[in-house]
Amino acid sequence: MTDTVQESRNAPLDGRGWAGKGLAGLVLGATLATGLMGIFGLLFHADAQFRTAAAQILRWFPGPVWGVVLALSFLFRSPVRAWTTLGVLNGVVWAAYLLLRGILV
Amino acid sequence: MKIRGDIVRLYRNVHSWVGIMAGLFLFVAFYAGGMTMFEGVVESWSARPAALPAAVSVDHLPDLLQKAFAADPSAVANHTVILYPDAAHPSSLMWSASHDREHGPARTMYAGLAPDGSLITRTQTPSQAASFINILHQRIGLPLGRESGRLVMGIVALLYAVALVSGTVMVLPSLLRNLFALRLTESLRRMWLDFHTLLGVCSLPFHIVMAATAAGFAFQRPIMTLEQNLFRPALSVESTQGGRDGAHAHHHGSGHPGIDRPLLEPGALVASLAEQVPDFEPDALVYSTRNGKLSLRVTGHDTRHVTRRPDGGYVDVDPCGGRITSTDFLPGHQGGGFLALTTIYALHFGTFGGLWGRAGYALLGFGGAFLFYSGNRLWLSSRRRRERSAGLSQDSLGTRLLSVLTAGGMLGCVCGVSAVFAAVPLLPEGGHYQNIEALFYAVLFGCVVMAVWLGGERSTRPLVGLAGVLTLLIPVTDGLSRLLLLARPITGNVIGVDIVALVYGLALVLTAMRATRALAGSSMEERVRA
Repeated sequence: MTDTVQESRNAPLDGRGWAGKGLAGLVLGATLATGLMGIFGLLFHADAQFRTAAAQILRWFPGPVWGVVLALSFLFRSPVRAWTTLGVLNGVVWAAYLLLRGILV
Repeated sequence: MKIRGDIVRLYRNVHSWVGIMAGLFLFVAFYAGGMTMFEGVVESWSARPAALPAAVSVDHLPDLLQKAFAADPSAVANHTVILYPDAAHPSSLMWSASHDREHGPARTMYAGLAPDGSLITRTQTPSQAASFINILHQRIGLPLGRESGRLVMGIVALLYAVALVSGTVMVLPSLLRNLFALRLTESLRRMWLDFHTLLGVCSLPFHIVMAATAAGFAFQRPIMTLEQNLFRPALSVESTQGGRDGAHAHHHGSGHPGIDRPLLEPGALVASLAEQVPDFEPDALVYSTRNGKLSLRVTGHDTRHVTRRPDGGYVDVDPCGGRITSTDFLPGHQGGGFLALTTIYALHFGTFGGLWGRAGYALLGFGGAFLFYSGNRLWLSSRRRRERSAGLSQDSLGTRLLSVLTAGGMLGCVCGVSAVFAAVPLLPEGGHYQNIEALFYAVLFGCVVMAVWLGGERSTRPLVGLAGVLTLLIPVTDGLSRLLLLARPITGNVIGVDIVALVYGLALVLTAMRATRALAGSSMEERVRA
């Protein structure tokens, strides 16, 4: 068991499964960036009417995060790993957002 | 820095594929984007001020406004008073005569006073050439609508971000060793590779800024919708804009819609502003109707501070009392948050450091375009090398296709932009958007057809030559139209544009002539090796 894990960890990365990994980065990267934007928006008291600077500045937040997540998604060992890892991260971020919203509202 | 070999190899593949997908569009975006740094200069170059009413002095402005509003009451809701008239804005008072703002400056009514004091008005559509270049930049060369164009641009910006990350991963391990090794003597492929790496690494901060800000502009609408759902409604408003909405809302009624008292005269308004913010130099008073209420935005230059837009910063003023209602975007009077926001805009639009800042940004933009051109050339030469060593005597379909698109699309864009500028002096009113758009895509299409016909490699030289000839035509048609056909003034901006076109055109023609020898040399070299 440990041997196979060790082996797969040392196996060189290649382009196999690029479509699945990329799609995970594309879809879950977008939701992750949105969730993080929500958290920062609540923390910095950004308003829904875009009167505050924070609300207007945060418009530039999701794009770069999305791009970086997409670019790094090719580093996952397999498409399944990409979907599960990014899925769990999304769960954590969105749970934190809902919790914050519950506390702050 | 150490990065595992397999990761570098993986990202080399990612880099070349996203580069190929986005490179053509990014070339157009950067070539046209570099030109937008001089949008104001081009507006002044392409203006036709001769037929328009002359400016009036500040003392006569109240008279002019009163007569103009009596003649066209709808002008009150949406007019601009120019304090310092120039070639692009020659009259003291103007208002839009059309609601079409999709294609650059709308059809505009210009007003002035005749020597006997009577009102004279002229309608003209300002040349839409400069805005066409800007819209070409925003829609990455595709003739799409506003919203669909933005989304496609966003996808390209995303690919661009991936290309930047992967490219950085590729060069990091051997950065110091290879950066300044420009191997001009070895094969053509080596030269493109070294050049691409050097240009990419040196302008990386600029490209990171552009990728990050472009995504924000591209996904503006969907992100704002998300924000409206995710953020809480405003409880206490931090912005100074807050006072504006409530204060006079209950005074509606008398006279023009949205105005409760007579408007303050321009002279008194400027004097009141000078008292409140002595260091701000106003350029224009822009009256518009927002939420059924007349509001005034005073725009002004200030090269000492970053500004939100290329034409400077602005301050919101009560049009009746002259009191400042918001300094959120007033250069030198911004809070930390709005200064940060202005910096984001300024980093994309190059609106800092005055003319030199914009010139530097234009150079970085054109350098970016050349980066994508060199990337495509690099991809082609390494594909060809692989295909030759695999025993193929001719290019595969994919190689041929990209070769044609690189030459026809990228150089076609250069030809198209130059053709637009060369035609502006000859077109009525300095070119309407539809005519300019038709001309650009006709030239682009012609260049692609030529590339298909001759093949990508063989069409490169004639296309560079064509771009050079079209660029050289700009000072010719402009000079002729100024001297012979129309009474168009010759200003510093005009001479600047024509001289730049002359030098650039000559450089392109010389490149085309030199490329013949270089190409002949490299094919000799390849034949010798084979």
